[in-house]
Amino acid sequence: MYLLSTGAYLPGQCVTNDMLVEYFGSSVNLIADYFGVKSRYMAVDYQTGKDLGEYTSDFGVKAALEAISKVPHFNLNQVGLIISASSTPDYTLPSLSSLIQEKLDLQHAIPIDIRGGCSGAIQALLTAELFIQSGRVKYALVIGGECCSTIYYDFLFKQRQSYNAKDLLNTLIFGDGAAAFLVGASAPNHEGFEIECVTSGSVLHTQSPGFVFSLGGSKEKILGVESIALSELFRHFPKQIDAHLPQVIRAMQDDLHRHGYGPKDFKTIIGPQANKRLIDTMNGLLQQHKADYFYYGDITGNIPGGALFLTFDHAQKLNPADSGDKVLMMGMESPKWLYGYCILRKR
Amino acid sequence: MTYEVLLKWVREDLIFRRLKLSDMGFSIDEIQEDTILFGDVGLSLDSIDGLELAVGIEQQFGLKIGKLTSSIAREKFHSPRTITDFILELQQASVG
Repeated sequence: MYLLSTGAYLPGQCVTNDMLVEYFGSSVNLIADYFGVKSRYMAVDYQTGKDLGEYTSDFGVKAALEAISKVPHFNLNQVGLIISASSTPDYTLPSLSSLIQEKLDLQHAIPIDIRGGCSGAIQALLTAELFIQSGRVKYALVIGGECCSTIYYDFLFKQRQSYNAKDLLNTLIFGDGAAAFLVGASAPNHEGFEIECVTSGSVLHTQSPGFVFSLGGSKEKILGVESIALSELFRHFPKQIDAHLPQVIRAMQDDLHRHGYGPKDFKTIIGPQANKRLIDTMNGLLQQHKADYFYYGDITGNIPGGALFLTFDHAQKLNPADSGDKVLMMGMESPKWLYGYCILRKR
Repeated sequence: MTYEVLLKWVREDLIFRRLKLSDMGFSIDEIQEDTILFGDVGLSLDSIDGLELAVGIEQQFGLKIGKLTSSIAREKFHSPRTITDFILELQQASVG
């Protein structure tokens, strides 16, 4: 399978920590510094809390159209499959991928939704590979994105005199946006990347979660944020992350080794973008590989379903791979400790 | 506010009520002035609880804690007494 092109979309404006201090006080910097996040993009007006009118499907469509536009002579109608990875779709139903299908007017494309948090984008790529290798489709759009702010920001904004740290940290560490990969059975003119390997696994599925996102979608709140404590929507369990994440990283290292990949194989690593503290947990793995590690989450906030594709897109703009260079893109999530990775070789 | 009043606020309002420790099965009597808050003993709070304490202090007293590193949190938030001392330290720094 080949990666033909990528596209990305971040809504609204870049909202820095200092812009939020006016409304939420100096605790913004205290929490944001702790997690290493400088800014995020939000689908709400940070000064009023009101929606800007764009949601996850809209981000996905814009990212997809950018990816398509980068491939000369490629016709949108050649896309036979749309796979979306998001934990914050517009609605529970209709599915996110079918909304994107509708907005792109791709009547004959197969829409599939994946919900896998920070490893969802890899699971979506894996699914696309199965369709393409089987010959069922020739080209697929694989889209990862999230819209978190519309779920809770308006409520938090109204309660800004009495918020707690948990409420505020979710606003600060998560962001909105999407990115798209256009993949296919072939790529024109030896452009793009060959996807050498894509796989997914789990080693700790019976362990307690490190993070739980319990309700709702980006546009439709199932029970309504107002009806429950806001901090119950996104629940963090840092002790579980400290206890289990190293095991997930070791499992991924073992998996790479089994597939024949060693420390010197990668020019670039695109990994979890959750926050700087979590990435520090991965230092052992990163020191082994000595590759460039791209962290974009300090600018965009964590966009679980979209982070890997967004960061890949960003990394290729800043420091494009040369022919033969390999990129390791790896995701892991703490709700069920799933992991996945993808290895791309520049053609 | 006397030291003892501030210590009482730290134990009862900041730690017990703000962290909703009754939901975790703790009683207010279990939070004494030298109860260890973080680590494998005592209340065994986590890093998010530490942030909650810091935000609570900033909100209540209008103080700026600034950069909160893990080592600062471990030292200053070791027990209700060290938190009380830390608040007084911050207050003195803000007027100095």
